Amino acid sequence: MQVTPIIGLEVHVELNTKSKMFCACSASHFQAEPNTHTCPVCLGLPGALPVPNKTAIDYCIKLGLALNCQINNISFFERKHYFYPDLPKGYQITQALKPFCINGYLEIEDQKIRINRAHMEEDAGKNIHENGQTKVDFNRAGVPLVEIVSEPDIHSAEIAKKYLIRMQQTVRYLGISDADIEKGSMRCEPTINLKIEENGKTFYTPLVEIKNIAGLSGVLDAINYEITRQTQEFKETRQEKNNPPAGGKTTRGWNADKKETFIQRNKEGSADYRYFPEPDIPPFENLEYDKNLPELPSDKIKKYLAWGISPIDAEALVDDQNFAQCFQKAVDKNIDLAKSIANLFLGPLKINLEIEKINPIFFKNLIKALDQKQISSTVAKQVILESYQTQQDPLDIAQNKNLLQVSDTNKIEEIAQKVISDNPKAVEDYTKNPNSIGFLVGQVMKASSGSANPQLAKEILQKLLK
Amino acid sequence: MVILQPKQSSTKMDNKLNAFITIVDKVSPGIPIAIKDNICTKGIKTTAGSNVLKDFIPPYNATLVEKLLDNGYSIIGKTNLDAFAHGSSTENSDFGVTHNPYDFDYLPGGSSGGSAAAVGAGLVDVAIGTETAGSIRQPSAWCGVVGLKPTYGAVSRYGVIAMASSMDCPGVIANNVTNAAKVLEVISGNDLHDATSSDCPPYVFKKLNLSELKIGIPTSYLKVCTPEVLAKFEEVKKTFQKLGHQVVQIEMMDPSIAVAVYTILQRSEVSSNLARFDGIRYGATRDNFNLENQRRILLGTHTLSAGFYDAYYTKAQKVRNLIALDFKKKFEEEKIDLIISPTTPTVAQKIGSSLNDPLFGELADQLVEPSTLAGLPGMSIPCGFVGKLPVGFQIIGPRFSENLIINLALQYEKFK
Amino acid sequence: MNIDLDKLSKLANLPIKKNDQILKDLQSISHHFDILQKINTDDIEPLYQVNGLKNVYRQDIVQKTPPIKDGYFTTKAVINKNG
Repeated sequence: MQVTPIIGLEVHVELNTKSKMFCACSASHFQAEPNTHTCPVCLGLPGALPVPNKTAIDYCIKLGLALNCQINNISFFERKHYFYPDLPKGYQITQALKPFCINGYLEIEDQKIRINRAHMEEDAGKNIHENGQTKVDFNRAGVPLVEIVSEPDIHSAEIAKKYLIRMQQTVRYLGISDADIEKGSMRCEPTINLKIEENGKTFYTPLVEIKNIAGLSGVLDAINYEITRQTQEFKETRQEKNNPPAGGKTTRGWNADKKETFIQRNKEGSADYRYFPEPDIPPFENLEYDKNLPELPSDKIKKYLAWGISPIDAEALVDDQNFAQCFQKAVDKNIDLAKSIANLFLGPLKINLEIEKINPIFFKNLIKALDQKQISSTVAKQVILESYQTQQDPLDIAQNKNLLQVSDTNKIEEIAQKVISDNPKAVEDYTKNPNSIGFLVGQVMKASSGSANPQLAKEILQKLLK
Repeated sequence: MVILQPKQSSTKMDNKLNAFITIVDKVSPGIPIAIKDNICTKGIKTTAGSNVLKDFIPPYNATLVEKLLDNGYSIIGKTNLDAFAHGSSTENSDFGVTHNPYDFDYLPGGSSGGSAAAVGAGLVDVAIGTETAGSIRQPSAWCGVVGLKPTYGAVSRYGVIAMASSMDCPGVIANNVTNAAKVLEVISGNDLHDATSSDCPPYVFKKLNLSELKIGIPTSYLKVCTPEVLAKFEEVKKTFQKLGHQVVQIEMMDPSIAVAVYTILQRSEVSSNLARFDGIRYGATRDNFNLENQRRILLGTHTLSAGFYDAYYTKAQKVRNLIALDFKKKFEEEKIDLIISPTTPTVAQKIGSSLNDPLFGELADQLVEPSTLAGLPGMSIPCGFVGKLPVGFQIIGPRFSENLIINLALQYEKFK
Repeated sequence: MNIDLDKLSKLANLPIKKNDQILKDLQSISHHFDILQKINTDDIEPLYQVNGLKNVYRQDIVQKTPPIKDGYFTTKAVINKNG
């Protein structure tokens, strides 16, 4: 039996606009006193009317462009009806037939995950269930969300993780949200089913949507749990997708403590949201938008790979936009030095960098000196950090601290003699096992404050110990 | 007309008319105006005529109320209406029926029956009403007063408790055309709180010397009227001819089509707009809706539901377009300046008659529904009596033709 | 025409007892439907908005409103989400 998971991801990104989607209340609801960021509009008072936030729309379109989407010429909002205490109007203003963005893709490694749509909607309030009561806080009601729906092109939890990370990076690069999965400003709901091939026949299990997952690891655990569960369930029931009575899409919740999904009590039949175009908001047509995008993570990765940087290192470099920009500033036009500079960034410079303090000349000088063996790699790593902090040329620092690589055979021999006499046990180990010379080389490096040419040191030690 | 002082007592038992749900205790100085009780007034109870909101005190003013207060008007009370404006009689109010000021055994019309009756009885010169399908014009005709429904979008809907969002129009009910125009000047104009409010400055009255207008009378509208109403309307027609205007018969779509479109669209939007009343943030729970409200909510839920949406809602919106195009053709191609007709097919009906007749509203409103669906302005002007009961005729014009309509109405008023 | 009153009642969050009157009322809508079906709307677009407005929005500016309520709104517990 061959099992292929079919996974689609629905991601909600909370935008960092100042005001809410349809009213002028503050959109920063995190940890605010309950119901202090509310007004007649977001509370759904009688007579209140929604007016869309231009910046939110601009952000949604920007994200659509970054996801290679087509921007719909005509677009409008619709009402999605259902009753729940955190939904003040009894309907959510969202988009259905004509979203702002459609038909895009997100590149991760060698795969293009297709994106069905990216649209705008408003968030609901927050329910807290306590002692047989439900307490509702509407600070979050009306906060702008962009919902991004992928096609079911994902076939493992690993790829799902890469998709989510890349989505998060892309959103952060655009500056439209802090996309914090732990805090809930980026939420993910996977929909999964399985393709099962057995004895030349193909079966599909019913679709399951998993809601209320917090955190990235939760998403991955939930996906993996569900793959196992559906496989088992199919073995037991042979239930296929679209086959009544149990073949329809179900919603399951994620229990993070027990690490399992559970059925959320469903009404018979699927929900009928009675969508219709929002009469309180005129449609959008030929909206002008800014086509300029910053260099995105997938663009940068392509560039770094072309510079000879490994895929793993490239991923690490793009994880933070500022970090990547600092790296690129350091490389400047010296692409042949990129790989070496990358090592420095992923080593001693993996801290919060200020781009004004990055001086490409320092990097160029340092790498050149490394190549010419004027300086050892250990010392290079040491002085680059200090160079960043003090804004001094790294070679000057090395010189002042006597860290320039010593390739003077006599000097090294002098140090080597001392190391040999100070470490009799290591010498004995060496006679038994020539590969253990590393320790003695290390001692020579230490005694020379890292400035000895390690290759030379090894050769000299070997010569002396013959 | 003698202006009677409004009753200061807060119990409506004294007020046989029952035009008011709330009478303001301490009225601040200013021009007295009554506001239909589906419009939010800060600190003053706003019930929408329903038990669901019987204790609701809005924390904000509707934009039109702010404008009135800023321009020297003073709210004397909130007037009765069919609950949530669902009705054409004011009999559907949870606070008792309002009586017609000309004959207490008769209905004032609705849903702005309270406002029309208050003006008709002389309790106040001007009142604010709302119209979604005749709710300003019809009660104005039945109560013998002027009723002005502006162009959709001319007056902000912010703070007006929504019935059918794509049709609701706040407007003016007044004792004469001049006062109606004055109030329109104050309440109209673009509002940043209402995305559907027109991108226009407020209406300003300009005197026009009108002659030789081409005025159309739709034949299909006359077919449904009683002989008595037609007789009064014939006098109106002659008046305009005497004033030098050309009055012609025109062919327009049958009003029953507009009624079908309106019923489906209104019920659909109502079911949505009333979804917010769940008793959690304000108001009473949903079992407090009266029978007519329930009926409309259920019907609207049905017409929007999967499997029925295209056949009902989408189809109705398409036919709505045809109705709008029908008017456009008359005004633009056939060069009709304005359209006139009786406002309602009959005069006021007896109290109780709406309760037993499910088609009551449809019949009463059929002559005003086409123009509402097209978002056009319309004004009802009194034109006489049948026995004790008033008759009204209406003038309908293209979008933003309020000034032309008002000037023609003034011309008529002056001539009379 | 099949009208499921129980389903409608749930969708509309309106607890109503099934009765013939309401069913009759609901079914009466079918005559409006019949009138409309007879009209040809082949090349006609739905008229969702009569005012011809497009691209209406506001700038991203915060305006504080005094809170309407201190603390949480409360209601009796709900168990599952319908959406």
